Amino acid sequence: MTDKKPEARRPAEHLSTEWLVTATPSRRQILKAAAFIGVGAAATQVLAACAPATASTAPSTAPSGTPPPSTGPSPSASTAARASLDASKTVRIWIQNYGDPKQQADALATIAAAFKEATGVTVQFEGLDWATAEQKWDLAMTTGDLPDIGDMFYLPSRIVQGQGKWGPVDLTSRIDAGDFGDWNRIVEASRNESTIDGKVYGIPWRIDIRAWTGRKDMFASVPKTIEDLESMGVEVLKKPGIQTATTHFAQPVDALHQGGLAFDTTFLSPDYKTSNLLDPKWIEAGNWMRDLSKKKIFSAQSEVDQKFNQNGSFYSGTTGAVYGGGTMINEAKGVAPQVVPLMVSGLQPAGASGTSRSHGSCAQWSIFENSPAIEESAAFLAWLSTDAHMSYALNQATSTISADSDVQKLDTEPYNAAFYEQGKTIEPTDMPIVAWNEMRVFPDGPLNVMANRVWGSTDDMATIFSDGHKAISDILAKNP
Amino acid sequence: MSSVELGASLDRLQFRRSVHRHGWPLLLVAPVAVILLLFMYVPVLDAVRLSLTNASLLRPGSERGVGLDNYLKIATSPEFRGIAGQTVLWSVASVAGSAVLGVLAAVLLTSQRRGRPLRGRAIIGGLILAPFVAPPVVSAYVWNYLYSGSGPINGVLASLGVSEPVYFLGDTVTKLVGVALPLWSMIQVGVWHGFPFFFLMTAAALTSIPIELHEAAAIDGATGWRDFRWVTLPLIAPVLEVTIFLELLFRLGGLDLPFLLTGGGPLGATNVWGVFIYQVGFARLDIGYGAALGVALFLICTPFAIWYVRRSRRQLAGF
Repeated sequence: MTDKKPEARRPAEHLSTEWLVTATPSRRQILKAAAFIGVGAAATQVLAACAPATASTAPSTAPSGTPPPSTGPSPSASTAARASLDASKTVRIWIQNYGDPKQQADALATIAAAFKEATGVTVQFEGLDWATAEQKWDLAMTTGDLPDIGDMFYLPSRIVQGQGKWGPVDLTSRIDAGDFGDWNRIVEASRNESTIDGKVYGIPWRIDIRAWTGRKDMFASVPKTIEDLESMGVEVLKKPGIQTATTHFAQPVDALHQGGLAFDTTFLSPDYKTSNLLDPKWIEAGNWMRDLSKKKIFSAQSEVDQKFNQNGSFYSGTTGAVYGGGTMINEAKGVAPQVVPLMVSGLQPAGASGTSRSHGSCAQWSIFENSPAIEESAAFLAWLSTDAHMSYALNQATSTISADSDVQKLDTEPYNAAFYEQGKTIEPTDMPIVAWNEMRVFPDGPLNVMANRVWGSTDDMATIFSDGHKAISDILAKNP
Repeated sequence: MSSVELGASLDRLQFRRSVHRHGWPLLLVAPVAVILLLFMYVPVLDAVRLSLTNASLLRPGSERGVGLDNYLKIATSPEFRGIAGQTVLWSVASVAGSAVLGVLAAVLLTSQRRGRPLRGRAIIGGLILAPFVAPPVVSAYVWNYLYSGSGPINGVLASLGVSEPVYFLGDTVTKLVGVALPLWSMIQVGVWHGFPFFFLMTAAALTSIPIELHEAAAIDGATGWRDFRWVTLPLIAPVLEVTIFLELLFRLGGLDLPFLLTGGGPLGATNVWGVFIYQVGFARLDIGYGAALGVALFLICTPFAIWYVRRSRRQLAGF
């Protein structure tokens, strides 16, 4: 028996697909087809590699109402420094979205343009939504799929996750060499937060101090004590349209932290090695928070409902103050300018100790070890952090406070004064230990679950904190 | 040539013919098969492997095998038992509600009045399909707004004299028949989102029923509900069965609406299996336990899928 040879193709047969079905291809035809496919695939790869890289473009308009960037020379912008930088590289930066997105995008575009003019190096910012920032960073730190610079938090766990391959770069030698200016101008709490085992892994650029923001049309004055808060809150509730006297800010664990500080207690021992949740003061604090929620002085909904618009309820007038929130003035200028004249800030109401206590945390710019542009990244951070005006513009646009005392001096906004005052004695929001990441994971890490039970359940308070103590102790044991 | 050699020669010839006959089809199917293998079957096998470890993205490099510990944790965890119960309730209630509403809408829209079809049925049909074509993200955002403390529903309630806003998606205290209000609210959104699919399938099935059957039934005195119960329902039952089954499967493993509406809160009141897998795997980063939850869900759904395929084949054979 012989193989049937393919029939001679009729004229115009290329227009018919019948031959595909009826013809039995020989081995030579199959190999020829495979060769064509392989060459085609290789050609496509070559063409794709030759195509020019497309970089995302940020809006090029300068932010309105912000001080002009300083044009003074900085060490890293000198001719010699510029010559050592590779202008073909792009420095990619991930930064969380703060305040008004447009303001932030405009400010970042201005910064990127100024650095490019000074050094020729392109900087590309990518904004991360806060709601997914934790997961995005955790996944990125696991795989090493990272930008060159990141707006970092949970620094100790990032070092572990980096596995010595793509964690934050040790910047200590560069700081000692003066690349980032006088290190002691950074507020002490932020310096401490960026230093792990004597090594500095990030340059603090903002400090998130939590204090009081109220509306003058609701609260006649800033409550000085928690008793004032309750009595003034009762009066606020009589006003039309009010649902609760105050709302909270950020995650349930942050509000719980505030409540604990009002009763002079914290989650962990001072050395961060053991749980402090069996302190009887926690039960007192929990009952106080639950009681004020029932009275609608506090908003339980702002904590238990993940979709609740916390700042939005303040702007819309359904609540009279934000208890333990961050700075809001610049965000308000962008999204609710009619509320700005009504806004007033103050220290957190003092508890039994008579002292106003709060918490706050800084964020650092960290460079990652696997970055292909470490020198360019370091040059950018040195340029930005030593230019007080440029840094101030970034803080303004992101509605944040600087961790740099030189930049703080440029801030003449009266609203921010209370935050700077509060910041002198803050506790860290994020404990500087690896285990913290797992403890406060949102929404169902043990601290957030505990907070939700305090605000939103009728569970026995001692049981809530006992369960939390067990969960926290288990996590600490897993991360010695 | 001996008989053995002849047999071997014939085998080789048959093989070559088989290759020639099937070569092209196999070559054309190969890319899809490779993609399925790489992006579906290999990840499933890797998930099974992960489910037998204590892998955590917070402690990379410290993964070790733990056998069936993760599965034991699923079986004995009170937290998971609650979530499983909520998942079943969410799936069954939202599908049942969708089925009833969808069938009702289809029957009404395809009915005739005085021998004429319902006027405006094309427009009404289009409006009914709106929830179906809206992406889950849009649906969730809309209902979040509608249900919010200062949203339109509370506005209507306020005008009716209800002084306190009702937190449909955030109330941790109110329960109806032992089920938290947020879960009922979520079920309502599920019914709203799912009933157009039932409407579509049922309407198509209804139009295929010969009118003579209804006329014959009417002659025998079976009209209205009796006509529907003894004539219409048996004939659309196969379509309804398939639709209910498919929707149940989607709900059991799905997470889009629950995640977008409530994120599983408040206090886990609306947490379902799909959302829990995401929370464990991507928020807690406990990917070993998360993988076990996913594999367990897969194992539970597989018998149903097999049953569905066999039933479909039997129905097709019946035709």
